[in-house]
Amino acid sequence: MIKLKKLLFIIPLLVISVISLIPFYFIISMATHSTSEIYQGNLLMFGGKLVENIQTIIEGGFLRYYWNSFYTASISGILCVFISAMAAYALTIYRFKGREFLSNFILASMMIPGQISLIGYTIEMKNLNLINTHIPLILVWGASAYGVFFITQYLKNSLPKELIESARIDGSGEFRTFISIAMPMIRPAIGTLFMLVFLWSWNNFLMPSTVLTQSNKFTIPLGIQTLATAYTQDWGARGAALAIAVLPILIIFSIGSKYFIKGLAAGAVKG
Amino acid sequence: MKRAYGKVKSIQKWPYLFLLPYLGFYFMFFIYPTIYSFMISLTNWDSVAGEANRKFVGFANYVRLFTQDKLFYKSLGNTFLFMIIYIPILILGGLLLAVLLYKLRKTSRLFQTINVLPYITTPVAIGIIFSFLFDWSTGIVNNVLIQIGILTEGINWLGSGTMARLVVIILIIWKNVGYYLLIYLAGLSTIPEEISEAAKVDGANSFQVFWKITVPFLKPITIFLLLTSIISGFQLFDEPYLLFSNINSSIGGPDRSCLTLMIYFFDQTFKSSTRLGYGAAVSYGIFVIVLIVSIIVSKIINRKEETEE
Repeated sequence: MIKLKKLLFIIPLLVISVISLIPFYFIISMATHSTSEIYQGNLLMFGGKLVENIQTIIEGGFLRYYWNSFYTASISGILCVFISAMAAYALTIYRFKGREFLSNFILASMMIPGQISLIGYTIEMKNLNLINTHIPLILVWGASAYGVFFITQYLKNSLPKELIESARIDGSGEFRTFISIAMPMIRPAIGTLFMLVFLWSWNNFLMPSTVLTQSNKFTIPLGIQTLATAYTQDWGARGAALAIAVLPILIIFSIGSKYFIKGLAAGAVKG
Repeated sequence: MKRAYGKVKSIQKWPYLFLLPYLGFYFMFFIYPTIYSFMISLTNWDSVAGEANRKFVGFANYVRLFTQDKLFYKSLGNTFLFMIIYIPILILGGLLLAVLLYKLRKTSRLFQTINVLPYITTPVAIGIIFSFLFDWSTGIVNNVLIQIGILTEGINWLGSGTMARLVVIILIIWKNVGYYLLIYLAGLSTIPEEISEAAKVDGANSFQVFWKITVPFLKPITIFLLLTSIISGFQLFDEPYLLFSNINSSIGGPDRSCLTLMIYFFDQTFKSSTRLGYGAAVSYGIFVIVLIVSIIVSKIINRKEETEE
């Protein structure tokens, strides 16, 4: 009886999990077939054309897009984590004039959709001669309200104020206290936020498509779009491009899912 | 005494120094371009005609947007239609799946990870993947439906307005249901077990426990999900934009049935036309609508809460 009940719980979950995974399965399968095999429509079994398809997209410049995305997302993540941690530290550790106002201001700004600044930002970047560089994609992460909010929540719960006090009494400077005492204590939060920002930067399509026009500067989403339209007749290559663009990230995030899932849920449960 | 005071004073400047980088970035790369966008929205600036031909036109762009622009209203209608259908399905589906998963503690992480994969997949890729899956001739969906005998010939999913909308809705639900599941699951773990245990001792069945305890307890989470999905619903862009890149179709799919507000904004500003001034007015128009809808929804939620108490 108990087993039957458990089965009733598991079946819908299994069904939904299979549905979640099916599109990925077909993408991998597409990547291993030639175009004519794909037209014949048998994608349940894998084919033997994976290497050829990958060669085609590497010749199409895909590694370049990969590198562009990777370093842009990494620097964005580091910038966001560092600046958010400093701001969150100021808001939780110190009592100062304007603290309340700034906290509310940052919280409220989370609700404003980013595209309202997009046109002005694009022109600003143009005037600064930063079009066709990756700097505009990084600079926006210097002020992430979500980042400050996220680290503030973590600091409130996990950094004992006495520790900061005793460091001060020992004569440690304020900035050194922050770097050598506060930062190590919030390492899990830093890791989670870095993963989130890396992912958001990696996935972003709208902003790169307004500031990047030269194809050797493209990031992955622009690269996928380019390849999808360039190889209209080569379905195998398109499948390979999608698989290579998507799967490594998914695998890395599955390994780190413990921290990552916490990060996604943090906003809802605390707010 | 004096020395101690001096020390406190020197600490006083530190919070501002720690906040300085954040605020600096915020003003330079958000506030300034936001104000700049507003100024641009008051001009007829066209990036092809050039800055020299730019003229101040007052609120003319806004007047045109709200009184004459049929495509703007069409995209607003599409965006609303999508949200009205998929938000209730996501909230209900996410909640039910979370309740099921909560009972299976051991395998929970694995299920969560699998189901959140679509949510973290590059949206551009999702748009293209779905354009493959639902392709008329080579798509897997048609092949499967024909092979199991539901259809005799393939449906042209992306070729008709209604079907294309259905594909967009399926896509959004596929992508997001794992995220809703995850958030509800986090919420469920905050419900103290004694409460539902006590209710069961008093003779409540599982359904009553779910309806009278679980659902009210999760209300703040439901409100959070509702408000954030409205805000992100207005941002819907990448997936429907890429869904039709495979077939020769107008922007936003057949009959512009999947033209969302963001696609319209992007297309007006950077693609079909290059009218920065008008595009900026569109982005402010979207912002005002998001603001109004969010305020209305929170008012309704608050009023309900008052009458319930």
